[in-house]
Amino acid sequence: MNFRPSSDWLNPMLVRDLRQGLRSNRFTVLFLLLQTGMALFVVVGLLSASKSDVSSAIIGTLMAVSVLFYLLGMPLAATSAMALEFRDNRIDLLKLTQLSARSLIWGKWLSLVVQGLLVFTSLLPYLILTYFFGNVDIPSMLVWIVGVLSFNALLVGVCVSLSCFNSGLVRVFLVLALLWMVIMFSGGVGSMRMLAGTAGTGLPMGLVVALCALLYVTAGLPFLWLMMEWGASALSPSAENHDTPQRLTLLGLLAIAALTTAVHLIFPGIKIEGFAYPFFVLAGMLAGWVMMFASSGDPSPFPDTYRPFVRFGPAGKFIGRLFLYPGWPSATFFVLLTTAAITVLMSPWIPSRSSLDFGWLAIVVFLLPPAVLFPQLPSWLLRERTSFSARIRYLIFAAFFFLVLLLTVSLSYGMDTLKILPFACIFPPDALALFAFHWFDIPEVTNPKNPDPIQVLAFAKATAVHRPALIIAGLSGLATMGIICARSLKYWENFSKLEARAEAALKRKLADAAAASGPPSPPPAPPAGP
Amino acid sequence: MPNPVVIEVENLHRNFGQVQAVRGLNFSLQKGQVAGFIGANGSGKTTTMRILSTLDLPSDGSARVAGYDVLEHPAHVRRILGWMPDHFGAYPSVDVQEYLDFFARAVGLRGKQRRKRVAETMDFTELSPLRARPSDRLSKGQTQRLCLARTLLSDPEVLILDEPAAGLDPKARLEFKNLVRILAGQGKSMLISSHILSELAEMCDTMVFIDQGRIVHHGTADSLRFDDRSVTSVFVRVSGPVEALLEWAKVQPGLRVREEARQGVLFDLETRGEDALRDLLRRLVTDGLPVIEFQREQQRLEEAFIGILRQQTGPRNLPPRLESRPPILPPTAGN
Repeated sequence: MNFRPSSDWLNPMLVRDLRQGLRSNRFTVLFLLLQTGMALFVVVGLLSASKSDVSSAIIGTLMAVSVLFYLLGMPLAATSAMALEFRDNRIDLLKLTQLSARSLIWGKWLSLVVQGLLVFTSLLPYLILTYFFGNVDIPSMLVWIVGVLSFNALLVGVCVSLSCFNSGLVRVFLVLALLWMVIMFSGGVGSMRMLAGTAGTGLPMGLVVALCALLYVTAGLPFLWLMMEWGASALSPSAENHDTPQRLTLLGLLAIAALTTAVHLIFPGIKIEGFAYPFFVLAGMLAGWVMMFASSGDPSPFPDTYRPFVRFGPAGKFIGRLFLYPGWPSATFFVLLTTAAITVLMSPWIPSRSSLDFGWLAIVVFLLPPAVLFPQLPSWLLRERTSFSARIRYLIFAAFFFLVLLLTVSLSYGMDTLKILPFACIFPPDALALFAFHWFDIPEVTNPKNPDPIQVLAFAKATAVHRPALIIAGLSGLATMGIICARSLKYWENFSKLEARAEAALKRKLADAAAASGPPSPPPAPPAGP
Repeated sequence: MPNPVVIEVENLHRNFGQVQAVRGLNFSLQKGQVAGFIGANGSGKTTTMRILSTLDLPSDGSARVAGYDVLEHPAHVRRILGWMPDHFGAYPSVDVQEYLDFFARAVGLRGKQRRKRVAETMDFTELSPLRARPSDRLSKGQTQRLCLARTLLSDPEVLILDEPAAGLDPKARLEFKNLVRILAGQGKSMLISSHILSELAEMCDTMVFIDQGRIVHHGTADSLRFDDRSVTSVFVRVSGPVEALLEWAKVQPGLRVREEARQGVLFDLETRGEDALRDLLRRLVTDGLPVIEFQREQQRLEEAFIGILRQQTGPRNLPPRLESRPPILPPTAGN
């Protein structure tokens, strides 16, 4: 196969990877196997008396193959996309081209997705044939196809972005952290309660499901973008700022969530839950991810990074310092801001006002900021004693910490909470979170509408045994937060210096532009050599 | 007016944990100069070159390429710099022309300009006959030429070549040397690292010798051969018996016989410099010795480099392999 696209506007990475991918033995063997299998099915179908059975068999096989190929095989292959460039010592050559890290990673992703689509296109004739055999539910099949292909694109994106991290250990930590985020924030996803509310609109169920799937796909785009941005940050020079765009994306999602909440509050008659829910789930999941990325990074030492903020004067500088400058100092307050925003936005949506819903909300409110920020402390204290960079060190602590949290939270559900809680006090923020959860859990043992005073009293008495320890743990958790906040504020002195340099550079650039006689922004004059 | 400085390294440090790979390097390279960057494995050459190429970050100090700081303006630096690593992987199922076409696209070349540039670089590196060969099935020499062709696609102002001749056979090495000469003739500034000092000496205007992350010598090959020795060696041959020359040498201040060889005598002159040489020749002639050959002895660069290391670090710090070797020249029998 000789594929020579000559269009200049195509991403070079896409062109090369397609050339390489379509000629690979793996692709050729897979393609021929699929075609042979499908052709056999069709021949059997044509010869068979019961064509509808054969049609079901073809569709069933296609579904099984597509799940294996698109949702398992391709994502697995994608995990080595950039890792191979590292292994074969090609990554440096790629970095030195004029392709940005974003172009590299998006080109990789696109070439894999296009290869998947090409395989799918080759299977289309067989799908069309099944229509003539009968027993085909076209809308369901379309929803299935769109769902699988979209999910494939998303999964491949996640895996390509993970492949940008050269260290296998880091990739494992990232997967663990991602899993933890999904578990923590998608507690209500499985229930689909809000989606069920959309069924009351009178629309056909198939259309509702299709619309919801589309919404989830749309909401998945920012997730894909964020993941790719994360991967790109591992490839780009340190002078490039990949942190602020991610924070802005999260704030954008929260703005959409705020809009839907406003509509919900102002016009209670409008059934907007189905639209709002994917954005809430996504914002919740991404919040943790973005917070982790933000908290684990060092502040940029390059004045150019601060130039876009300095343009907006004191307001730009203040917002940058507090929330948007790359690195951990501003991440501290960004974490607090986004957590507060999520809490405020979620509370009007809790339909039953049950203690369980509030319990989950309490987990988000109390667990998230300390859980995200706490790894900063050991990372900071061990700074001089470890050879890892700040981000890797943070990730190691975060992964360990998240695993402990996951374990304690799951144990507290499966076993006697009172026995588990003291063990959770090892980590102050963890204990703080569990304390909060425990507090909201009290009415759960009784009937909230008609509480049994004896039960409440008995529970309160049992809890009182551990209360001093829990309060101490909670307070130490707050103290930890205080230390981290104070440390972040202390860094503002450095921000002042960098802002001053950025301002000077900006003035120079404006002066150059005003002069407009030569090329803009000449490099600093090199001093004479020794 | 001196040429502008294209590479400037100031107090550059790079630490990997407790290991100090680069310790306070200072050197510069002027436009159009070809500099050799010499040192043993692990001396910090590649680390320095990677920092200059924006592929690594310094722990301290600064590095500038054409005035752009590599940390603050990596994108600018990448536009004007070509980097050729000592080892790189090619792409399976991608032929030579497609490989270069990909990188030409990646450096921003479009349409006819791209095709022309790819053809030019293939011609220059004599890869045109191999255009359809898979890029991962080339010989070592061909692979190096392919890598050089890739480096030249963007017509960079500054070239950084890390061990370009490593692993090449003599013919490929000669071809490569010729390519470097042509590029130097085109006014490209180049920083080339290599273990083969004699080859670098022929190509380079200046040489930077590095050991354990520090510069131990910076200058021309001649300055290393001649200037950094404590003595100057001179070979003198006279017509007739050597004994007369030996007798004459006994009474000459600052002159000692190292050995008799090639029907002449090899002297060590304790005073350095061309004046001392002139004076010695004048004395020989004035005293009536029939001199038919008078030649200053050059050290081999490798020997000179090891000599410098010995002076700077002491014999204890030299690799044991070097110290256990027999002396390069036999010790003087005494005078």
